[in-house]
Amino acid sequence: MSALELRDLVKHYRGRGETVRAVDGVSLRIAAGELVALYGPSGSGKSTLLMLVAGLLAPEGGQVLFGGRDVGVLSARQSAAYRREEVGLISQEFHLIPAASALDNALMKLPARGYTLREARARTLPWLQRLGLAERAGHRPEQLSMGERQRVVIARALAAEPGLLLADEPTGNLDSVRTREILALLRALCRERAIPGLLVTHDPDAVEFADRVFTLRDGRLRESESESERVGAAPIASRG
Amino acid sequence: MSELLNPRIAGVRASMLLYLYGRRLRAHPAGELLAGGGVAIGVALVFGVLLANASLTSSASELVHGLTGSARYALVARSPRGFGEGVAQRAGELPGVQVAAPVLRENVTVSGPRGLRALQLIGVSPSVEALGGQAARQYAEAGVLLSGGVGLPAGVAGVLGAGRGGTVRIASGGLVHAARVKVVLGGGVLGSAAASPVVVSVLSFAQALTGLRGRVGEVLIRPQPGRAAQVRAELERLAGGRLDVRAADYELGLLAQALSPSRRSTSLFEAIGVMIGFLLALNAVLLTVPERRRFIAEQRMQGYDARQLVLLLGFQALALGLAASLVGVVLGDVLAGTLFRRAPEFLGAAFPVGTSAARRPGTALIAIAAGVLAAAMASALPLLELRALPWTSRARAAGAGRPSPRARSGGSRCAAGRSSRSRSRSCCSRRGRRSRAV
Repeated sequence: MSALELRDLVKHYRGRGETVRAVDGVSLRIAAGELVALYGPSGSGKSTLLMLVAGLLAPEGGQVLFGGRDVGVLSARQSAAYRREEVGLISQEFHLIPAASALDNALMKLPARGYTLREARARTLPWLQRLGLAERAGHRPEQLSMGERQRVVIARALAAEPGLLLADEPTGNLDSVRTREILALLRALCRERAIPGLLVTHDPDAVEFADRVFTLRDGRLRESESESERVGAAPIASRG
Repeated sequence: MSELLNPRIAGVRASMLLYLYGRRLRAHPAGELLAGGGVAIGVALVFGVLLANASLTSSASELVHGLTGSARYALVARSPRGFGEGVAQRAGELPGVQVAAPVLRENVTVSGPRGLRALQLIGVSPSVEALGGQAARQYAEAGVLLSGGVGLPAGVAGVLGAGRGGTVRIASGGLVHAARVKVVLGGGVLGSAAASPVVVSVLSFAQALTGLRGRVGEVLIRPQPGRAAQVRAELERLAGGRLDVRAADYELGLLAQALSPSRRSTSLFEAIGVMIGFLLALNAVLLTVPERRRFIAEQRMQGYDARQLVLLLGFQALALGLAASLVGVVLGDVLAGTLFRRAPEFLGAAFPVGTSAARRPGTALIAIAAGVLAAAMASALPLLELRALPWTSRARAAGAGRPSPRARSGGSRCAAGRSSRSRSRSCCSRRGRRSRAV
């Protein structure tokens, strides 16, 4: 399995006479099977960094290397294919289809890869079972708790068997018990499947589950040494 | 085999397109119903007007062409009293004339057991059969049967309540005659003219009914091949300024002129129908734009590329437009048969315009295409945002002398600014921020 490597990554936003250094020379290597947590205050550039890695934004400098290629210079179609084939993206916003069951929501990525409905369901159902949603597979999102909905989103990311796991505040809507469950699950999945994982979070609990923890401030990355530093950098109420 | 039955289109199985649209319908039934209703109403208005308009002219056209057949010219009386049959005989003897068929057409009122109607009495001679018009041939073949009686189109016979063997009363020029219905001519013979307001008889009986013995209203002329100009000149000479020489289907030209004010209002109504339908569809679809935008953003994050998103939304628009348009065509047919059915009275007095619907596939296809187009245009709004695709590091690519495909898709504004680094940066930062909104 491939590692993820960021080399001197730069992304600035320019407005009227103002430049926001969202990501400013970030370098990081996440090995296969490793889960890295990224803390930072609101507006520190965490989400921008995640989108750069996902190929949703293109960097102005530096490289995002995964699977032997630079994600930053892919064409629009190649970038979509990269997300389709390689990336499992877990977002805080669920974006589930209200009228579709948990199973149907979880398979929603697979039509883009040419799967039939039967094939897609066959690939997705084991993930729902693994995530403890087997009994809830036929339920619509409104019939699921927040934690269950989040697990549906995780199942959707994993059903395509990605080579890279990216999670943006995956526990933002959950209570502490569910938060720990989800974090433990993400760590287990990264190790079990030997894929790199990047977790953007405000949650102090992530420290226990991440292999390494970094803090992003003003677009610059540094490895966190203490919990107080991380918690101070990321107030619970704020959002990156 | 499954590839044939369930092919991949832009990498997505056809069955999944149906499946995803089914999920969308279940998730947003009200929105889809509103949008479909708007399209259906617009299509119904357009199709109803088109159908009513086409029916108005097509019955007259079928009747006139059915009567005139291959005739090229008509020697036409200028007075309601017509002209003597002797002129018709002389016309038939002109050099180059192959067939000359005298016809008498007179407005009459016909009453039957169930009601009365103003009709055009058409008296034909057996020679009209030689012109080859379908209706004329039927009239002529029925000539023996018609002897001493009349033939009625099925629609008219139904209105009058006079079937075969029944009796009707024909009033013309202050005279009232009883006449037996010898033949009822159905749609198989007359097409949409089966409801045309005409009554047919042999020439001599028509002359007796109208008190115009020995007189005809026009003579239909078919010249010999290659001698049309000569025949025209001979006819002009015979007419001598007292009669008119016209194209055999001159009546249709007059009808078109008479219809021109009506056509203008019809065109306006069609345009209004299209606009109403489009606005209804657009408004309904606009309600779903935020949701579609979220859908697009989410699917882009999941790895659907622009082709696949266009396919998904395009298929949904096509399915919605097609279903709504089919409903609209059915509604339009009902409208054409009820609200738009009546022909203008002034036309009915002068031309044999019928009221039966002339359903043509072309008319329905135009209406359906308009409906699908409206649905597609309304659904395309969120797709415009696909142009704001993530912008790659175009500056770097340009520096390396190889602009990436993504840079090209990123927009021409960036490309235009390539020569100026500052302009390029400003432009690209805007684009970058848009894509951040994903």
